[in-house]
Amino acid sequence: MYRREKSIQIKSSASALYNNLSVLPIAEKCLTYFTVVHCNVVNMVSASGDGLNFSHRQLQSKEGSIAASSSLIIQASWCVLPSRVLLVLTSQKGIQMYESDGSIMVYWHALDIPETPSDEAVFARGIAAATTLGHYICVGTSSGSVLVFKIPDKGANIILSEVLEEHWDPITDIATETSSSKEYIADIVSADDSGLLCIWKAGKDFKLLKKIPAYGCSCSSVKLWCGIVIAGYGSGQIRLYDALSGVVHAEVNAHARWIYALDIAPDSGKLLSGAEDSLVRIWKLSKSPESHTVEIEHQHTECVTDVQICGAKFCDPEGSAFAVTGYDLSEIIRYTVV
Amino acid sequence: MCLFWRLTLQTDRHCRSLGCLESRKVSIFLKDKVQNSNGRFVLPTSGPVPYGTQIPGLIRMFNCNGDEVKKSEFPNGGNYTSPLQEGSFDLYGGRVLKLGTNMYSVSRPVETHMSGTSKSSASHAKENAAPNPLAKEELNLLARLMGHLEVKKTTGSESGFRVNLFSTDEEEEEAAILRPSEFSYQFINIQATQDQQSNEELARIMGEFKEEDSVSQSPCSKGDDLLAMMDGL
Repeated sequence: MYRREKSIQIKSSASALYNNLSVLPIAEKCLTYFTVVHCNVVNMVSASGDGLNFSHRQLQSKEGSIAASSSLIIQASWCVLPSRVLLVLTSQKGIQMYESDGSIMVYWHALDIPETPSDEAVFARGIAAATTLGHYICVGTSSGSVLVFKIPDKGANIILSEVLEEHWDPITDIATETSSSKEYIADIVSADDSGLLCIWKAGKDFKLLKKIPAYGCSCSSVKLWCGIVIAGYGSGQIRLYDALSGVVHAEVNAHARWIYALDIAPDSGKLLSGAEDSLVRIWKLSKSPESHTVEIEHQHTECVTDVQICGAKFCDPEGSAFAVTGYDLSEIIRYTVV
Repeated sequence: MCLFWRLTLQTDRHCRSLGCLESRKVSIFLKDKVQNSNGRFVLPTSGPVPYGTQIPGLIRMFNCNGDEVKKSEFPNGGNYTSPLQEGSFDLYGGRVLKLGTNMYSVSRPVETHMSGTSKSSASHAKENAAPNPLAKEELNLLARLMGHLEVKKTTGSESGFRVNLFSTDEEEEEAAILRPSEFSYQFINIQATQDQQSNEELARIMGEFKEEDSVSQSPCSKGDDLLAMMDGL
């Protein structure tokens, strides 16, 4: 079903972080951008459509708006808004937002770091854009807060508009509704280390729609598609929930080890999962309109021998190609459908 | 409790693994086939899944009332077996995992002493009651080295001390089998009793000890005397 393509070499290997791969396809320029986090650096590669030309850039973590830092970067992700695309980096010190090609940093937000160091690590993690009733970027923190930034159409006048406090454990991932249809009420889902999921409606004041309780396992990656919450857990299980009612649609014993990454291809309903067990799996979600049931079927498995997968992303909205990163691997492995 | 430990281990692993492995090869890992010659650690797609994880392959689908309406299976691409038991977090108990054990030990035990069972508590009590038989021998050796004990040869060979740098006799034998034959053996002789200078020094120190207690005539009880002296200190 899928064939492995030539890998893209990156300047340093991938750190063992959740969701450690972000992909931005730029259809008009026939380019695809990739980012992979390694310690205090983000390796950015832009690949030409023919797969022949690559250009590399490295972004570093900052302390304040100027000084380079050795603080670790926890996640890097593009946020696609109607008017602009921003690249957001979260670290142990704060949040950095860049223009999409990483050329200019437009915003820096410092995390509240307690004066007396406590046992608990301080960092930001979980990045998603929300576009209903305004343009926002949501970023999670290790305290469980979700920071909501209001983003202007252009320029650097980004402001922190709200802080959402419904989680008590470090945020692991935040996702936005990926379906192009406007019918779905839920806009954002946030997940944390305990496995709790919160469903939100975006706006001037974000509204908590539902809390889906943890079942005993950490949720490392979450996606939202057509009102369905797709959550990947440390137990290796994937669960599908209804975003508004919280009802479980499906439970999949998907992987033998901790899931590190999930991605959804919104145009086809294909789901991609990557875990520490070295396997990458493709699933297909379908909604039956009459019975309102959601089904999921397994389509394909790829084994990246002896590699703990830490990032997995589709490269296009149909899901005809995907890319994968592995811990301590200095390449982005790519697959295309045959 | 289990979630807390797994999270702690995972966070711990994140913090430590955020650096590079740099493909360092460790000989015992290579020998045990835990690491490849390219430096990557072996991630088997077979064997037991961890406690808390199910064997991959089952999909269960539910309706809005929570009733299971469909079940399907998919090939998991591996050869997984049932989850491991949960290890004990008590002071004594089976840990199940090898984490924390000595990776250089041949037998690699995973059990700690079980003080709860009647069988072991009996042996525990027995151990406490009987003095360590080696202690007396060790003190006799000390006394002999200090030059104040007549060597009384028992029938058969001298029961001296044999130094074993491994944890058990089996490990020593195993290492001897594995030892490449091209390495030659070198014997080092240590003559602890015959160095005149050190003997005088020891005699002087021994003299400082001889204060109150009367010296017993039986050579074998020198060990007892030293024991009593040390207890008195």
